[in-house]
Amino acid sequence: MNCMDREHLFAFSHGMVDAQEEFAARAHVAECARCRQAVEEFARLDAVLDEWKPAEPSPWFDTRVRAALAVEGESGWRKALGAMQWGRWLVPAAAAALLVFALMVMRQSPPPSQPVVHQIPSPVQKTSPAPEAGRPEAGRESTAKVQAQVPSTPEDDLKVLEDYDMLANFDILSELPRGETRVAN
Amino acid sequence: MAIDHDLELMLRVRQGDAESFEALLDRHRKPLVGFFARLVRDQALAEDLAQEAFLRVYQARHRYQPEAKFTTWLYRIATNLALNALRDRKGVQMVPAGDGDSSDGGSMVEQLSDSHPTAEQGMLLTERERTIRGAVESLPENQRAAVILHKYQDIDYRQIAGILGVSESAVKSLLFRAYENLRIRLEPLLRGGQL
Ligand SMILES: [Zn+2]
Repeated sequence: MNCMDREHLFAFSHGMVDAQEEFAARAHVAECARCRQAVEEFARLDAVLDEWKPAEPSPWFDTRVRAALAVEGESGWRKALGAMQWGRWLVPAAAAALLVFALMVMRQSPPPSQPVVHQIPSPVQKTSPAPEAGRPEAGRESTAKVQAQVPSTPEDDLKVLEDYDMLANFDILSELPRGETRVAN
Repeated sequence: MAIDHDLELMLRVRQGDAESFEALLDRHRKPLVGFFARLVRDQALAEDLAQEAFLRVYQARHRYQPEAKFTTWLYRIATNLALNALRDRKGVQMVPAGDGDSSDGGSMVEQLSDSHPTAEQGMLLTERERTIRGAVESLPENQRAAVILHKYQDIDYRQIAGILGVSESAVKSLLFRAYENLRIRLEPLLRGGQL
């Protein structure tokens, strides 16, 4: 009988032949010790190669992938992120960190050097008999307060948050009061 | 079937479903890190590359076409990343597709171990594993990629053809030469091992 060439035997032993070829090869190998030996050699090599075990991913692998994706931050992903299991803790944590940061900024900022509108006691305005004069003042006051504090923040402090681009990808930030959102950006 | 499940997940990722991406990450994290680690012999680099592969999958989600099996697509990205990383690191020359044996023997193992004596950090291997790894690393690039895909990632030769961008018969021949080279190089283990 005609022996199969080695390459053909290899293909047969690794299931890389069609059904008809496989049938013929099986029949031949059953009767031919030489070809059977070759097939056994392929199997032995396969078993030896199995001994090389794969490396395991480190425990922080997923966290890194997620961080990379969060930075990637596209709107569709951003929405879906909120529903994610890990998003559930990351979002509150980000919000909490942001609040702490905002509080620190408020405490550390020196008083604005310009005339301070917001030091006018508010009860006075509330009891003011002339609403047209008092109201706009009060409205400007809260805006001025926020704006006066934010620019006075040292640039170095802001960089801390700038590094966390991913924080900007959470919808929860848009729900925070305006002043805090500005700090985040 | 697993492959169909990947495809379904990827289609959902394309529609913006982040949980499906998590599922893909869960299914492919381990094999992908293992694939890169075997190819580049550096755990940290392997993880960087696996992360990059996942990122690229995500970035390309809108271009994903379900005609190709997900793993073909994933490992095409992964193989390109790995081979580029190896070339960046060493300036190693690419073996022409399907023509592994015509190279200089492609012995990348000496080059890698010479230039990166500490690159094995995080990989604890037995002596036999080292021998096997050495044999695989001594293969020309294309044979090496083909063997790792076939043997360790359990990817069908037809899919490997799609991943490496060569014909199915070229893959068969590439794998045959690769396994024959390994058989010769691993002769001591084949003779001595109680298998
Ligand atoms: Zn025979």
